[in-house]
Amino acid sequence: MIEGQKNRQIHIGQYGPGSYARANTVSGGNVIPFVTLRNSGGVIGYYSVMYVRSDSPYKSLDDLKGKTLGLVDVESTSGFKAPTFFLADQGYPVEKTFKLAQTTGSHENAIFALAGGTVDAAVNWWNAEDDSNLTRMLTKGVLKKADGSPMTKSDFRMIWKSPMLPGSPFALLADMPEDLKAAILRVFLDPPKKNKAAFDALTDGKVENFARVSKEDYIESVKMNLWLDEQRKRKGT
Amino acid sequence: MTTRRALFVLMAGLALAATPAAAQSWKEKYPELVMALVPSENVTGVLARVGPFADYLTSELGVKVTASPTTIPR
Repeated sequence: MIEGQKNRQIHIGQYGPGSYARANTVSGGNVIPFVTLRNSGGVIGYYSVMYVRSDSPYKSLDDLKGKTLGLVDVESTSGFKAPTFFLADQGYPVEKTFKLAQTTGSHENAIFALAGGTVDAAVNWWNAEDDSNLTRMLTKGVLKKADGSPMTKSDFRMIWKSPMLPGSPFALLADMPEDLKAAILRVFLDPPKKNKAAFDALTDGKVENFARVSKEDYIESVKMNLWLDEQRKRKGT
Repeated sequence: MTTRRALFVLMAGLALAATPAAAQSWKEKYPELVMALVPSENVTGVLARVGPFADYLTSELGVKVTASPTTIPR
């Protein structure tokens, strides 16, 4: 997708803040954020969180030393970049704290790995108490205990939460005609009631509307991305 | 984040640009737009989530907007 926008084959893209930062860099600044979603309660932004199973003995990051962690994907903000960045900052660098930290490929896979006992802890995205990937998976009924009964929120314990991340931005190509960009912006900023069904499908009905954003709202995300690149170079991977 | 002024300037720009000739020119150059979203869930869920919004964009913009699944989780 980052390549798609760089090559001008994708005109509108929704990113996490971290993958946006990468797309902005590799496109030479041609991928520009224009709106994000305003969550219920008016909040703009989301969190990376770490869960363990509530039947495990782990209550804190210290308890997880030498255990295994399920990450999402190296370009995932809440499932890789933010936890790697903030945990290192808080004195729990992922590669030193955990015996093994592995990517699982998706947010849902990270939760499946935790629920199934493949990993001791997993990171994921979290908007609010009633809206996270975990609550959406529970609503869909895809998480089951070994005996086949449905899991509930009480089967999981959140033991870490990142500082707030800026809302996942929708970005467009800066070099498109001004009137096309203005038309796209207008459709996104129109009141959601004009397109309630489409809007609710997009957001699970948990979002108020789109909020205007600009490059300046993602300066910290770009810094985080540069720091991660620096770490990768240092490790020679 | 949103400043009324920035929005006003954009909307004013839109009003100026919304002449038929200008609208025609971008639609010729961009007969189809592609929208891609980072998956916060697995692929089938993403397409069900994005499809209706892509259709809405199609009807409002007057050019086909196609939703494309991607593999980078947010």
